[in-house]
Order: sequence, then C-alpha cells, then structure tokens
Amino acid sequence: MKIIHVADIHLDSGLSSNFDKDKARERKAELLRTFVRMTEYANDNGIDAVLIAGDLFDRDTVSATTRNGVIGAIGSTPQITYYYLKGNHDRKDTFGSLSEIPNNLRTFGETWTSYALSDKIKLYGLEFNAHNSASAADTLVTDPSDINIVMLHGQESASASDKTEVINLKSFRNRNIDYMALGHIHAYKNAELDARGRYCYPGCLEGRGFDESGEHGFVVLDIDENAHKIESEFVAFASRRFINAEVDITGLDQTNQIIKAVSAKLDECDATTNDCVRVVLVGKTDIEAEKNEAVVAKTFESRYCLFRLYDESSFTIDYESYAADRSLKGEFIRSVKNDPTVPDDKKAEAIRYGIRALLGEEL
Amino acid sequence: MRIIECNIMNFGTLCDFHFDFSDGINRIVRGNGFGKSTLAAFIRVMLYGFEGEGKRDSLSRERKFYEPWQGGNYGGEIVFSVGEKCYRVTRTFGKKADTDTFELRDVRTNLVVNDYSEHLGIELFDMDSDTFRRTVFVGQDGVETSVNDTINGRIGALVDNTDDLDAFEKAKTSLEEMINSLTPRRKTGEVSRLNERITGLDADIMPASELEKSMESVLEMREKEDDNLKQLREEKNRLATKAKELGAYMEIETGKERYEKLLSDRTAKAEELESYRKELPEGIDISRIPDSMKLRSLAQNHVKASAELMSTKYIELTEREEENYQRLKALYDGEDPTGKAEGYVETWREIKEREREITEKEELRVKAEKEMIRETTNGNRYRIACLAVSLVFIIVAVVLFVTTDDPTPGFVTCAFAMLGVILSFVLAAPHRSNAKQRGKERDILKRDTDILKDRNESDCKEISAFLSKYKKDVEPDMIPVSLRDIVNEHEIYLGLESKRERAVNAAQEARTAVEQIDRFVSEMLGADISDDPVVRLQHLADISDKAKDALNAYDQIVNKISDFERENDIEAIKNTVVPKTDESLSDITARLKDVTELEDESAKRLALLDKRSDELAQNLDEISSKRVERDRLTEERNDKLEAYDSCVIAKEHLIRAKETLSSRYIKPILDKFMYYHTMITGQNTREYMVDANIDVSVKEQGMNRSVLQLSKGLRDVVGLSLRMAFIDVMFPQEKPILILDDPFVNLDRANLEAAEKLMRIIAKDYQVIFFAAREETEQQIEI
Repeated sequence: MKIIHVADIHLDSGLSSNFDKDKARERKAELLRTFVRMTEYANDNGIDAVLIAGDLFDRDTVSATTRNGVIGAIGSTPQITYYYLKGNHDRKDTFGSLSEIPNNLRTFGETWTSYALSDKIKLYGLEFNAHNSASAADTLVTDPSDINIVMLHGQESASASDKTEVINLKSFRNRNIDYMALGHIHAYKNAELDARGRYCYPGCLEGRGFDESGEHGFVVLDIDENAHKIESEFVAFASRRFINAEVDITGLDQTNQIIKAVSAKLDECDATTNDCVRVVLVGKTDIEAEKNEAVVAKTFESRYCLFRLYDESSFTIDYESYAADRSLKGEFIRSVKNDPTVPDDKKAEAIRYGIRALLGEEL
Repeated sequence: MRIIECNIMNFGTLCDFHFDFSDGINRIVRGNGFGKSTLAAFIRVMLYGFEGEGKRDSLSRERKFYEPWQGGNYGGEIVFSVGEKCYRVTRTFGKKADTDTFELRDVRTNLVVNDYSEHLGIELFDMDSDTFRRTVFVGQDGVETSVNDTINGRIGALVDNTDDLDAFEKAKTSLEEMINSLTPRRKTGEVSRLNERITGLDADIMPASELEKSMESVLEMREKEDDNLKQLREEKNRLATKAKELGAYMEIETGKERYEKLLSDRTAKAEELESYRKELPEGIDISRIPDSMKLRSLAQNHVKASAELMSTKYIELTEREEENYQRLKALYDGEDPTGKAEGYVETWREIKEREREITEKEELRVKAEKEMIRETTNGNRYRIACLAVSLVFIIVAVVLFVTTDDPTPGFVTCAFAMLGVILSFVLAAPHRSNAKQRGKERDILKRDTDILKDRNESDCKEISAFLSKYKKDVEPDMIPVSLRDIVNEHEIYLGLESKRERAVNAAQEARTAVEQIDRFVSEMLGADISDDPVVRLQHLADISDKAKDALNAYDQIVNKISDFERENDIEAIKNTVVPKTDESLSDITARLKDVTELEDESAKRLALLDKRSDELAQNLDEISSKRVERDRLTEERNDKLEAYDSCVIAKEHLIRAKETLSSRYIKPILDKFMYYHTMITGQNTREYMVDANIDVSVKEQGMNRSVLQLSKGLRDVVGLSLRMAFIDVMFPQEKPILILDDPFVNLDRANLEAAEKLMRIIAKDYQVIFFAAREETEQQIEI
C-alpha cells in the first residue's frame, strides 16, 4: 500500500509579508494548484491514501475558490481516500457544513478515531484541544500485530512539561506505533520514535516566506504489510523555493566584488529564476569601501521571482591610522570620533557618509 | 616657466604681431585700443583655450569675441621654456573647438613633441583656468581675488593630502543635497513623505480592530449557526431514521394487508372460474377458447357459408348452356381464334379495296392504249402530208432543172422540198413522243394490276383455309360474316366457361367453410356435436369472455401472490407486530419537512455569514498587507532618518574639519599677505585677519569688517597682496609667469609707486608681463 503524508498546506494564507497584493494573489493560487497537483501525483502513482496532518487551511474562514478547489481535487480522485486531521490553523470544521462532502474524505475528532486502511494497516488520529493533548498517548489503544499509523498535529517535544498542542513524543514510545504522521513544523524531519517506530514531519507543501526556506513537499510511504515494513521517501514538490543566502563581504571594497560574491553564493545554492531569494550581506568592510546596495539589488532583481537584499554588514574604522593624518579626511574622522554628542553607534555611519561624499560617491 | 616670444597671426584686433619677452619684468605700455588686453588674453588662451564656449552671448563667448577683425588665420604661437627645455606652441582656432589645432614643437629639434597637450596651462601650472585668473593673471579691474578649492588645496601644502580638501565643496554640496532630499523638516524630504505615507497607512489600519471585532462577531454567529445547522441536521437525521423505521413497519403492515387481500381475491376468482367451468364441456381449456367476438364471427360465417352453399344451385349452367358450352368447347378449347378472325376481317376489306383498284387501273390502261394509238395515227398523218408536198416540190424542181437554164428556181424548189421533209419530222415528233409516253403508262398499269390480283388470290386462299376450320361451305360474300361469327362464338364460349367455374368454386368454398367451422366446434366441444354448431358457438361466445377474464384475473392474483411470497419473508410479515408510537408517520413527515425548511434557511444564513466573513477576511488581508507595508515604510523611514542624522553629523564635522585644517595654513598666508601689503603701502597700521575660508577682513574701530568696505584702491592692494601670498605658497619651486593687465589704475600715487617697486622686486623671481596705458607708469617703473 502506498500512502502520501502531507501537512501544513496553509491554503488561503495571506502571504503579505513578502509579496505585494498581486503577487500574493498569484502565490495563493500556486498553493492551491500545488495541492491539486499533489492529488494528480497520487492518482498517477498508485497512491491509496493521503494523510493530511493538519493546517490544510490557514484560517477558519476559507474562500469559496479554495474550498471548491480542494473538494474538486478530492472528488476527482475517488479511488484515493483522504484522511484530514484539523490543525491549530483550521480548527473549524470547514467541510462539516457543506451539503456535499466527498465520499472519499475521512475526518477525525477530539477523541481517537481509527480507520482500517487495510486488514493490517490501522490509522489513528486525534485533534488536539486544551484537554486531550496531555492524555493523548494514554488513551491510545493499538493492536501490536497491526501496522499502526498515528496522525497528530502539534509541536514535538521530548519532555513532559510542555503545554497544549505539544506532542509529548516520550509518552508515545512503546505504544506499538510504526509511523507517526505529524504536522505543524514546516521543515521536513524524520527521526526515530522508539525501537519500533519513527515519527515524521513532512514540512509544509510550499514555502510561504524566507522563514520556510529549502525544499518542500510530502512523504510517500510504501508499506509492505506482509513484511511489516514501512519505506518512506521525501518528495520535493513545491513549485518554488525560498532561499536564504548569507554572503560575507569582509575584505571586499567594491560593489562589483560584492555582486560577484553574491552571484557565487547563489550558484552554490542552485538558485533558479523560479526561486525567491533573500541575501543578507554580513561581515565588515573598510569604511572607505565602495559599496552600493542599490546596484547589487538591481543586478539580481530581474533574475529571480523575488529578490530581497539586506545589508547587515558593518564598517571597520582604524581610528589609529587616522590619528596622524593631516588630511581633511583624517581631521573629519577625528572630529566625529571625538564629538561626545554623537552616539558611538552613529559615528561609523556618519563617517561613512562623509568619506563617501569626499570620494565623490553617490550617497 | 617663462615665455620667450609670441607671434600672433590674427587674434582680435592684433594681426601679424610679434613680441619678444625677456626675463624679469616686461613692460608693454601702449595707448588705449592698441590691444594690450587682447595680448594678455592671447597668452591665456594659448595656455588654457577659450572660456565661455557654451555661452550664446558673443561678448561672453571668447571665441566669438576675439575673432579676427580683419579675417585670416585665427591664432598664433608662443615660444616658452620650462627648465632646460624650450617649446613652440602653435594654435589655430576655428568656429568651434573641434576645428581648433594644437601643435607643440621642441624648439631645439623643431620636432613635434607631446610633452604637453592642449591643456597646456593646467599641465604647466597644475591649476585650472579659474585658479589662473584668481592668481597669476590679473585682468583689468580684476585685482581682487578669493580662494577656490584648488587654491585651498595648493596652499594646504601644510597638510598631507590636498585632494580631499579640493573635494570639500563638492562633498559638502553632496551632503547638503542628501540632507535636503531626506529632511523630515520639509514636505519634499523623503522622511517627510514616508511619514505622510505611514500616517495614511496608520489611518487605513485603524479600522482593523473594528474589523477584527466584526470578524469575531461573524465567526461567533457562524459558529452558532453552524451548531444550529448541525442540530437541525441531527434532528433531521433522527426524524428521517424514525420515519424510515415507521415507514418500514408501515410497509410491512401494508404488505401483510396486501397479501391477505390477494389470498382472498384468489379464492373469489377460483369460485367464479369454477362456475364458468360448469357451463363448459368437461375438460375444456378456457385459455384456448377464442374470445366471444371470434366465436360470434364463426357462427356468422357458418350461417353465411351454409347459405352460399345453397345458393350455388342458382348460378350453375342450364342444360342448353351446357350443350352449347360443350359444342363450343369442341371448337375452341385451348384456342383463341379471335385475333386471327379480326385480322382476316381487315384482310377481306383490303381484298375488296384492291379489287376496286384493279378495276380503276384496267380502265386507265385501256384509256392509255387508246391515246397511244391516236397519237401514233396523228403523227403519221402529218409526216405523210409533208412528204407528199416535198415530193411535189422535187418533181417541180426536176422540171425546172430540166426546163430552165436557170438552176435557181430548181434549187429553190429543192429547198422547199427539203423544208417539207424537215417539217414532216418536226410536226410528227410530238405525237410520236406522246404515243410513247402513253405506252409506258399502259405497261405500268398492267404490271400493277397483275400484282394486286396475285395478292388478292393469295389472301383469299388463306382466309378460306382459316374458315374451313370452323365453318363449312362459306360463300365468298359470307366470309366477313363468318369471321365475325367465329369471334362471337369464342366470346360466348369464354363466358360459359367462366360461369361454370364460378359456380363450382363458390360451392366448394362454402362447403369448406362450413366443414372448418364444424370441425372447430367438434374439436372445441368434444365428440358430441349433435347439436346445432351455430347455437353452440353462440352459447360459447356468451360465456367465453367472462370465463377468460375470470381465468386471467385468477392467474394474475396467483402471480402476485407468488411474487409477493418470493420478495417478502411471509413468516416475518405474519409475525411482525407494529410498535405503538406517540407520533404517527404523518406527524413525523410533517416535522421532517419543517426541519428541512429550517435547515435550508440555516444553510442560507451560514452561506451569507461565510460570504461576510470572506469579505471581512479580505479586508483584514488588505489591512494586514498595509500593516506590512507600514512596517516596511517605518523601517525605511527609520533608515532614512538615521541616514539623515548621519549626513547632518557628517556635514557638520566635515565643515569643522575643514576649518580646523584651514587654520593650519592661515598664518603663513596672513604673513605673506602682510609682507606684500606692507611692501605696497609702506605701512603696517591696519590689522588684517584671514579666516579658515581665506576670507580677508580688516579690523577697524575694534570690529572685523569686510574688505569690501574699503576703497577700490585699498581693495586692489589687498587683492594684489593676497594673490602674491597665494602664488608664493602655491609655487614654492618653479615660478610661474605673472600677467598684469593694468592692475594699478585705482592706486593713488604713493601706493602706485610702492606697487611699481613691488613689481621690480617680484620680477627677480618671476617673469612679469605688465600692461599699462599710462606713460607715467612706465616712467615710474623705469625710475
């Protein structure tokens, strides 16, 4: 039996943090399209079931387009059964009030709900609330001879002191669990639960911002019922990647050198035109370095779907080397340095502007 | 550097002008209009090129201003030395700078060299044209001077790097522009603009809390409505289940009743069927009995066929007809002579026609023969008559020949004789021709007549042979009648034969019909058919439909019972007891209808709430976008504000640094200034001060006053002294030339003398080119 484990799709997400209104609308449509593509993938690859481990929607109120898109995609693949467990973002029963719920959609409640995916494969799911998360593991009853899959949505924690919406992994150990299909964390993670089972976060299906960088997609489980064995494989499926690149520009004193360094870093990241790229310049440059961030940003803007440049680098000023300098520059630097009314954290910037003005550079 | 000579081809008023310069002072004292200023300008232009190239005003645009008055080549040359080397620079000027020429030759080798370019002045003195004018070149009414960046830089030799000092003004301007562009103090400043946009966005974001409250309220309402809908659906499901259960019981009850009714019906129908069976012969299969209509039809057919059988006696042949039929059958059986007989009637008519034709032709033939004979006779008559006359003439001619000597009458007569012979042929010819024609006609008519006779004979034989088969001894006149008799007799034969067949067939048909019906009745009613079959059929018809209906009804009921028993658990139905309930099925159905309506209304309300929440979510999304935009702009505004502060600090400290730096070379400048000033004025009574910007001021009455407040003469003294101070500081090694175009016009006599004296002293270190218009100056200088 082949199963897709997906989570944190966050359809109808606002996306205004990184995109303007039009691009946010496009990106919203892309999220929905990727979900639909996933159902097509499932259809084309002999997938029997899709486990949606929470946060299918980003909020309780779901737009008609998204609702219809999801129902349409699920309805158009009737041979696949979808198991949808609500997360912290979609607590409301979006499908509950619909007049026509697809026949192949199964949901869960705030007590353990189980489904037999086959004679030997059992799926258990529980939607967390303020009362049931702590005792979740204790109320789970499984048959050790079955292949037991447990679906939850919450933050992993190994300690027992965490609060609601936290999955106390320790408490789920030695409960005959073969695979914990989890959701909530937006990055892929597959780790050992105990001697028998593993727990897995597939991460979000599509990144929505630079805090969700890297590859995104879902996990395909290939279960050999006779051998009692689960093979899992992460499938990178997102239509775009968010790439964070930190470029150290220490020692570079010209804009074209910085551009070269950024370009090299992005090549190293395999950034393509389809990707959203965020570059942070770090390190220290000489106060007299010729560094034009606007030129750097302009160079890369047209190469990527989204390009953001943040200059977090600082200047190095060797005040000693200007101590005996009888030039205007030396006099200027000393003047700023010795002015007690200028805060120390502003001196470097002021000196930078003064020197750039003296060098005839654009400010 | 020093100038050795100059040659002017054409430049302003000067044409083909040559001047040799010497070391030290070079006095060029000429009256007004000679071209002293032009010569000074020529030297400057040879070094720096024209000024004011971009100006339209011809007075401001030097190229136009110094265009040769007399035409010819515009330009000239200067020979100058730098160190040990001596050069000749030649320049010509066109209408525009790109048509100018520049050539530099080494005077010693006369070869073109590129030690200097057309920027000769800059390369020789390391200063631009403006600095040149502010220092070594003193134009008319232009003694006063001030520093620029280059002078600042050059006199800042006391500092390490003068490049940034040169750039001070530009840097300051650049920072000021940045400050102005960023300033939060003016509306046009970026910080102000950003503040404005942030304020606008804040105003847009303001309703967020209201919207969020509305959203919460809508979501709360939606939740309630959702719960309500769920409850309604649960109630609906409960009612539907109950209705279904009750419906199922009702269905069983109905089934039970239906089954019992079927059983009861079956019994009733069986009894009815039995009653019909009693009226029918034993063992008859009711299902095989035809319907009443058919039975009645059979009875009618039996009656009709019996009647027809009886009536066939009336259509049989009479004895006489039979006799006649047999006679005619002997003649015409298997033959039909009608066609031939009718054909021979026609042939007989043709024979008669041909006989008439033969008669006519015979008459014509006789007539033609008679005509032929008459024509022949007539022709012979004419011939004989003419020949007779000719014979007479011949006789006469013979007589005449004999009787007379003159043969002429004889010949004439012979001629007449000949004429008579000719006439005999001419006159007989038509008659002979007609006779021949008539002969031919006679022959043709005879041949035709013979042919017709032959045909008639042949046809008569054929008709006689035909008639002999049916008639005996037929007279020729009776032939057509006999032929018609044959046709009539044959027709009679056919009529009799037909009538005879009809009678036989009708009897046979009627008999067969009666026999079939009798057989059917016999089979249907069994062996006992002693009764009248028609009566039996009619009786059967009276009860057949009812019996058949009864049988069908019975069979249907039996089938229904069978179907019902197959489809239902009869035992369960029999044993099922309908539970007693407070609500009847109709009550539950009515309630279900109400709940369904309420559910529809609730679903509609929920849809409206969804729509409203969608709208609110959209508005909140927009506000969220604006909040992000506001945060981004705030960050940008803060960055710009920091940049603004940094620029303000940078500008302030740059000015402060420049002042600090300048203060280092103020004293040497002031010392030099005072040296030259004292040399010219011969006194050191005034207290002058030079500030960091090298602006000179004078202390009068305990206060600093601008030199602009001094007299023109004193201002010139200050300007000249300051220029010399600049030059001394700027050119510590290689001394430049000094070009002074009548600079002392404003000095009083005492100062003028001192200035002249100063020139002589300066001339020890500098080559001085001094232009003056006044004779006394020259005299004074020479003194």
